[in-house]
Amino acid sequence: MTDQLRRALLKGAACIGATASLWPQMAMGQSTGNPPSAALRRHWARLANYATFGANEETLQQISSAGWEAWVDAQLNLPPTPLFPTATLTTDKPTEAQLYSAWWTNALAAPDQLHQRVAFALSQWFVISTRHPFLDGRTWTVIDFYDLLLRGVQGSFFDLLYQVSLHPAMCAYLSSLYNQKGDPALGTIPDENYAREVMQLFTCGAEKRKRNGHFRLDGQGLRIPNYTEQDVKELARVFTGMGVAEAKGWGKETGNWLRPVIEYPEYHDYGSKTIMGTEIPAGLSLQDDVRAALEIITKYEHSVAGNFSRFMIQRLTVSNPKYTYVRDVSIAFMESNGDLKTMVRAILLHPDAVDGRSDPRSETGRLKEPLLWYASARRALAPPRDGALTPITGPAFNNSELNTGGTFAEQSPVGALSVFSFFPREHQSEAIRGEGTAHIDYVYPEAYLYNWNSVVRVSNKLWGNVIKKDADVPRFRAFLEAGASDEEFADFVLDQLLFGNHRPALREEVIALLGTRGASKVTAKVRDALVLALNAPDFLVNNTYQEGGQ
Amino acid sequence: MSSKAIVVFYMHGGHDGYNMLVPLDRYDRYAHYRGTIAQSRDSLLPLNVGQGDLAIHGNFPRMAALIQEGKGAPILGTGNLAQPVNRQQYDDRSVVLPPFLFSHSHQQQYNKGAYDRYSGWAGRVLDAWYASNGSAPALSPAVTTTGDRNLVAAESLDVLQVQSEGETWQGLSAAKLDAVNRLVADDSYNHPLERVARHALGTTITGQAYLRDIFGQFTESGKLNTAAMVASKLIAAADELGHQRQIIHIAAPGPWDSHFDQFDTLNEAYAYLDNLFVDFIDELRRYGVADRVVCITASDFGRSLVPNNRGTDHGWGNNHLVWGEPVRGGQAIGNFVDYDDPDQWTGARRLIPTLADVQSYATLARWFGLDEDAIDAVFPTLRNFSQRDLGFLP
Repeated sequence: MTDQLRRALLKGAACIGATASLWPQMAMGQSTGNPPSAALRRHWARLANYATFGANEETLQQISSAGWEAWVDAQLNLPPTPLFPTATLTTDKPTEAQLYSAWWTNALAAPDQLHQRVAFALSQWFVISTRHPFLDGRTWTVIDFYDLLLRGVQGSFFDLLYQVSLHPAMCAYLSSLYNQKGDPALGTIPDENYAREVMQLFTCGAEKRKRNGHFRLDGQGLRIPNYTEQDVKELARVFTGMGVAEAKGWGKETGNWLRPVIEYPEYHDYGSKTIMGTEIPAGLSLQDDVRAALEIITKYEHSVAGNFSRFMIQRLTVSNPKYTYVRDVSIAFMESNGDLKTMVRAILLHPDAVDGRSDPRSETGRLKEPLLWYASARRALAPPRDGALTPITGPAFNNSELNTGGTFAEQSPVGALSVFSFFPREHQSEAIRGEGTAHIDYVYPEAYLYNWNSVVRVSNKLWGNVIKKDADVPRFRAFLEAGASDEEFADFVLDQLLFGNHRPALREEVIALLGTRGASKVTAKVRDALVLALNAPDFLVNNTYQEGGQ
Repeated sequence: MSSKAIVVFYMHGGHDGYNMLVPLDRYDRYAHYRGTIAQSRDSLLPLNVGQGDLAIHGNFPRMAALIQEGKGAPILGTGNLAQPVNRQQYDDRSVVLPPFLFSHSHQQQYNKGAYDRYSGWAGRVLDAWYASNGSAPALSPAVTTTGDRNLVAAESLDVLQVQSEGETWQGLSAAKLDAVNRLVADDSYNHPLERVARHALGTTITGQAYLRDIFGQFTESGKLNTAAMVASKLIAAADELGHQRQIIHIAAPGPWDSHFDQFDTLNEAYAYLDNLFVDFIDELRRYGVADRVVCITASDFGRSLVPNNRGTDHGWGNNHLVWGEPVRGGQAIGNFVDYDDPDQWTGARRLIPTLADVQSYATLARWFGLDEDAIDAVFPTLRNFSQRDLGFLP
């Protein structure tokens, strides 16, 4: 990337070096200045895809006028849009259909897109699921948990970890709710579920890492455990005696599922505990015990930072970050005591994210998972404030387009099949295997969700919900009816949906397909072009096919 | 040569195999250790397979009958092992152990991978078989009917992921599909990410071309869940697909990670499973292919013998089932644990396996026709165990 381009990108120059290519004014809305260069538009779109549920014209205009850095800061300074106003959760008892409606409305149309995207990433780290028997049908506590993550973006990782650990939805999901201290007479021991996963998945991970995300190795080249089985057993004693607030007693499912769990002295283990070599003194309250334990398990801060930074980078920007990228984000995370806004800034403003790379073999880019495939197509096609997206107005709110978790079966929001979330964090696609050693360590975890069933399902959803509804895409009809040639129309569609981030071959295929329809077949031509653009492999990738200047 | 298929019913989350099988002659010790989650003696069904009057949970009547017909067998005390280990060696860490015992993700990958980080044993068995028996079919015989690909992930074969009979394309007519196909084939930008995206769509298009047809040729009984129904049709169509050897991963509906409410949850799950396991064989009989198929259960790990107040925690050694027409069953394989022998458990009464899961899987691979060198290559830890074949297949 040229210095000129980078400056323009970060500081928000409206344009540099206008291209002579066709540039429809309608694509830019009211913009009357020179059109931006094609290279800048590709860049803005790639950046917008990092920080939103899909690049669209509105976001590109915001980024172009503010500059990337100022746009990111403006996003982080917006108030988080919750799924539901907390006040209405208690009274309205929203249904699962309303949860999904609210989630999708926010994903597609909330102004604080960055909060929404980061919260979605956090929900894949601090995992709960509507598929748990305690949470299925108790949707308000699931919504409250998700809104905790949304608000949590404004605070520190460590505060969020503490609140998550005492949230009734998490306690129910990982069975620390109504977990009893051991009884020597009966030979019972406390449930170890939360103790194990809070270390393995929510903080340091099973194996020691450097702050750059790499595993630390011992003299024989083996990974080094962060904790022992004894540590799990001791930590399990901390998460005992936790019950739902305002319940009618121990073990009752009634009560207030929007408040943190409370201490039941009879069932909490007040003995001293030794975790990772550090002793927690006897006699602490549940809350103090939890706080002390979480401090201990996050004390290997390089493991926590390296583990969490790599995860968040992969969810937002690139699947295979260089170790220097992870290291820089880890440092920002540690130096700010886990401030999540600082971390998100570090991820989005890092040169590895901003610049991309001109070498096609280098490790940039990210595969959109099926859910983001749909969301980004939906956002690019229709203006986000179109009539199909009704704002949340109360208990009756229900958006029939996407109100079931089954839309993306393996990836329904807050509906993962297990605590390991939607896909293994380090999944390698079989498309990479057998390639020799060049990309032996490359992972594309989102590829895990692509299969015979999911691809057709998403493709059909796009067709039925969006493309077939002509009302959603009037600007395409208008462009064609104004007398555009097939070439002009193909360029317009690809610019509007992929912002120029595609291979020349896709353009050729769209033009060829348009050529099979007579000029009067406006509806068919619009549909053909949209279907091909949105089902092309090019659309599944957030990367730039053509780098550098114009 | 007739085709053969292995079906792995995976109990994701760590099934408590000591909840499923009980030696009646040691019922009192069982009841002592299991406390509130123990089954009543009267509810258990005797199997007549030795090992202390071994009985199966009362919600498995059809499986009990199948085992007594000699078409099935329990595999006892089996789990993830790198080499044989006793209590002293475990305490001293003086032998190689599977890393991160008791962690779901690590143990599931160790079990599915049989040691390897990126591929699964099932995928490698198929790689090895097709490498020495002609070319691989267009549509992969390494099949998962779940969201989970790791068990059947191979080094050269693709994974065929089929969770249902699928939908037909609505927006993509033949002309548009052809165009997408050309875009999938265009490798002018050889970036790995771009290759992954093309692969994601390409396997779908190949699958659509074959599978909608195949599934339409068979009429299901309606007794199976979707995953097992799809699996039964793929087996029935094996010849047409060129699948001389197939391995299919099905998720056994649980939930199995029974930290909580184990007694009721597992009772309910078993009642469902008993029908699924045996109806699946019946469906294969309807299609006339039951004599080619062996089914086996697998899981992350067993569970702690001593419960928490409501369920059990992550453990190690476990009990499994193998069944199907070709199985030489009717006799238990391995030894049932001695509850009172401290040498057979770790702290918190997690049972130390006395068989390695790979011994079962190598037995299946030999039935497929892999030679001993190929078996050793697929299962690098097998040579650490003296018994290379558990004898439950001809």
